[in-house]
Amino acid sequence: MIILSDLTKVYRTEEVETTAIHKLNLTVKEGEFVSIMGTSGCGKSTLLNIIGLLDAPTSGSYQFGDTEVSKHSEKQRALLRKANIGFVFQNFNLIDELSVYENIELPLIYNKVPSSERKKRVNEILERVGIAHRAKHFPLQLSGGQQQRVAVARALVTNPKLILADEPTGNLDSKNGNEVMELLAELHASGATIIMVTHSSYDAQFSSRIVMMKDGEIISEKTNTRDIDVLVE
Amino acid sequence: MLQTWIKIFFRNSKKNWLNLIVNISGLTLGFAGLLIVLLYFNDEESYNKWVPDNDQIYRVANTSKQNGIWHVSTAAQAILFKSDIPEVEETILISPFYRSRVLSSGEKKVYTEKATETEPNFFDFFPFTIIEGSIDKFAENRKHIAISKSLAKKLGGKQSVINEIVKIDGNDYVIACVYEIPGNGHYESELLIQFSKPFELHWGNFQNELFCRFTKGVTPDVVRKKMNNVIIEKNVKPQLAKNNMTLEEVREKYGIMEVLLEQLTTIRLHNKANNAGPGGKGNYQLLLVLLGLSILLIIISCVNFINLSTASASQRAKEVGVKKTLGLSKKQLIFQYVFEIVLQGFVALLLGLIMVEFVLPYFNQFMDKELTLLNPPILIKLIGVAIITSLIVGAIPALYLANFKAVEVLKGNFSRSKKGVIARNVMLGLQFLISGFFLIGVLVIYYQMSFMINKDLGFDKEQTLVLDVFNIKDEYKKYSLLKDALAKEENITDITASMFVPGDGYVNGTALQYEDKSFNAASNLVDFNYVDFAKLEVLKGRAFSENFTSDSVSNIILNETAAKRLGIYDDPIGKQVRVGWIRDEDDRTLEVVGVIKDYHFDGFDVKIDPMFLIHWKTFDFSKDWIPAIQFKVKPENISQTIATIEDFWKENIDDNYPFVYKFLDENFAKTYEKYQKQQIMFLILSTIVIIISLLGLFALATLTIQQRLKEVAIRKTLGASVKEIIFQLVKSFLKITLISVLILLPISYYLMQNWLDNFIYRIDMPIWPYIITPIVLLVLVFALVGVKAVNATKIDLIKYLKFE
Repeated sequence: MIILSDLTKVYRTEEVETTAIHKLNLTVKEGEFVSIMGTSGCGKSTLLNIIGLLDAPTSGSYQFGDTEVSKHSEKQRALLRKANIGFVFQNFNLIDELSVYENIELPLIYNKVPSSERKKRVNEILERVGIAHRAKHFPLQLSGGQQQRVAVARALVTNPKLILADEPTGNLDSKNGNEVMELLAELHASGATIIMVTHSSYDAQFSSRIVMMKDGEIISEKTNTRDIDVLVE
Repeated sequence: MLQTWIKIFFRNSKKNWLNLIVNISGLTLGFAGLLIVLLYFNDEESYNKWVPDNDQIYRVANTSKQNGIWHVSTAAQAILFKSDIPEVEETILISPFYRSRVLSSGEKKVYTEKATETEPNFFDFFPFTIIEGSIDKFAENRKHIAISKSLAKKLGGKQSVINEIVKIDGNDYVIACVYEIPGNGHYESELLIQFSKPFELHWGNFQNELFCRFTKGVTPDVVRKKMNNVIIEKNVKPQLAKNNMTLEEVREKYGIMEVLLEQLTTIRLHNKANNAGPGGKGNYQLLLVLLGLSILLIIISCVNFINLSTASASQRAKEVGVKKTLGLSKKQLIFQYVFEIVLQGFVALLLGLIMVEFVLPYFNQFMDKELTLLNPPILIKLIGVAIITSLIVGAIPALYLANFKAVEVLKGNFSRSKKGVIARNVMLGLQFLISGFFLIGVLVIYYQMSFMINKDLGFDKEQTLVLDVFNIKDEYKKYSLLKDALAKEENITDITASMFVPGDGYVNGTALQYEDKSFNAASNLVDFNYVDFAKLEVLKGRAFSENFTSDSVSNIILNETAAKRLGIYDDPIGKQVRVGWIRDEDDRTLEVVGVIKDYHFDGFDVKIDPMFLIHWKTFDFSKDWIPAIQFKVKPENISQTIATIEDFWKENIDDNYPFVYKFLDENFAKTYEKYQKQQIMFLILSTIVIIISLLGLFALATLTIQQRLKEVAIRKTLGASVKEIIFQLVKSFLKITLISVLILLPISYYLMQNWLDNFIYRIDMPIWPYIITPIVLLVLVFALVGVKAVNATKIDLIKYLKFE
């Protein structure tokens, strides 16, 4: 589904040139749940932004499905992003002025889904992530875990081919964090492709493959043998 | 500590320079506007305040059902009020308008346009500062005159002119004293000349202004009742027997004249009679409008100030958090922020003062004033206003900031409070409301002014040169001489004379009577050709003509209003009417030979009164009473034509007085000058108000959009198009604009309707201002906020998704 070859990202300011990603190669198959780990500043978030089409690589190739997207304009990337990718952020990134329901509905509106269809899909997803009773609340009235569920629901509602999660439990306590990870694991089990950046090796255990990064390069990969009991408290 | 405060203030201002500019420029304009208006207001209110015991001095105006309110009185009133009413200490009659005179001393001739005729006790009422000579000497003899310092300088240079003998109108007078006028006054005469003899008791002529001085502590209303009583006992009752009527019958049929008392200091701005006197009328309405506008200007600046300060508070939230953590009390924090705002207020005040210093000369020229900034009481008032404004404006954002909870803020959990946003939106709406009102106001005023300027006045004012005729004796004879001689000139197509010139603002009136109907009518003495000359429309009958001998003996022409009020409009020709100039014992009547269409002979803002035309020669007294001669001139070689007239005039008619001429259209334009000035003032202030509002809007839009950048990033990530994002950002501003417009329309309609009601001849309320203004507001808001919104769509997504 995703093939990155010799991908490089260089940030230039007037004084310094920083190579965030250096000639990186990575393939993610459909239905995989990949965790990217590494120390701060190793380039994992940059990589996620490029995969999420929020940013463009400096050089190298990025194949999304059958399409080479590394040379896409911002507008083309936006179109592709809107139709195929769902995001979950560490800081949730919900709009405080909109209710839970409205936050989830937003990507459907931008994808021009008719309103009756929207209603159906939002309600379904609310049930699925278990916050239907909070639909009319505003983000600030919810706990962190609940907010992140809303964010996950929002990422899922358009049925994206790929879900990107940037440290989804970083702002949560362990109980809430666990709930969110279980949710992602369930999604994976039902066939979703997920790429997650995380600091937590505990969270990484939920995924099927763990990629370790350092200084913009992949230093190791290991396939996960799910030794974690998802019901552990 | 102060040093740290100032340091933080300057560094913050550097970051938010737009806020600083909007805040300070708004307040600067507000303070400058208020200062100018206060100076102007103070000057207008200062009239006659320097007169000692001014609260005891009253002008007597007379009112009756038929004739409205006159500012002039009779000699009988002056004499009887003093003798019969103990509360009236002293009275004086003074001529109600300035006259022009030439003073000659040997070869030297000096001209003044401000001569006033008065009685010997003038200085008891208006104690001018005497520089030389004495008041007693002036009062000693009716051939003694007093002159102003400037006139004395013109006459004698550096030498004293006291006791010098000068000739005025062929008679000798002695200069008894030289004076200076201490302040703005009802009379600012250059020459005080005395009536030739004491007045006799006479009820007929309302010719002079009558001032009375009351004893201390008297209630004016008590005196007024006594004065009315004197009129009934000494004037009305004696006539009852003669006319075989009872008092009630007279009251019923003609109404009885009553007096109105106007305190000296109120005449300028609150005069009850139509005419305020030689000092002129102030425009109180304009003053109030200007004061209101300048206060609105300050309110708008304050709203901007508060809006921007609270909106940008989030940017300083961290500073508050750190300071609170370091142990600063809430009180100290509030002091710091108030200090910052007072500092800005102080800078605005200084800039405002500098601005006024630069603007004042233009304002003085525009309003014909001599205002100066060196007016300590006003400056103290302004500083007071500045301090109070700064404190109020400072307290709100300071409290807002100081109430931030340190821990929350440091953790980054600072969020916009709902109440704060609503308050800010209300204030923004208020600004749109005020700006919109100004826009509508400017447009409605523009429509009314165009209507006034373009309206058919009913007479021809083009290419007409008006030459002032001074007191030159045998005026009609000299006029005829000039007419015969200059009629031959190629560039002069017609010459005429009429007693009043449209736009001069002075119209003589006398009674007009037909059977038992009688009222005061404007009286105009004219030459045969006047109706043709002024292109007045004859509705019935005919104009005067040299071919009818009776036209200069016993005929009269009425205007429409006069004919209608006499009840003879349907069949006027041949009716016999009487005018007030015919003595009671004389049974002469005048025959109506024509009716002319009403025309605006007395300015545009005055209702067209009943008026009649009579030929100059019809009455003996009027032959020496030609105040001006009018020439129709060809547009080519006008300066040549004027030179020809001047040469002839100086050589054959008069070389004592200066040669003074004007053009009739310009002269008439003076009657709506007041409104044109209002229009210009309104336009300038409106522009300032709208600019300040827009600056405020721009700064506020910048801030709120900055705060919504994270939201923009989220929406963009979720797939929102640029169009959708711009709409999202502009939406709230457009909503506020729309709500303001809905409130604005009825309020402005009501206020502008009131303004238009001030005009006797007014337009119907135009609809366009109410359509254009909302469109302009919406377009401006859309454009300003749109620019910011477009920029917002170009942000770096990652930065705002990661961090707040």
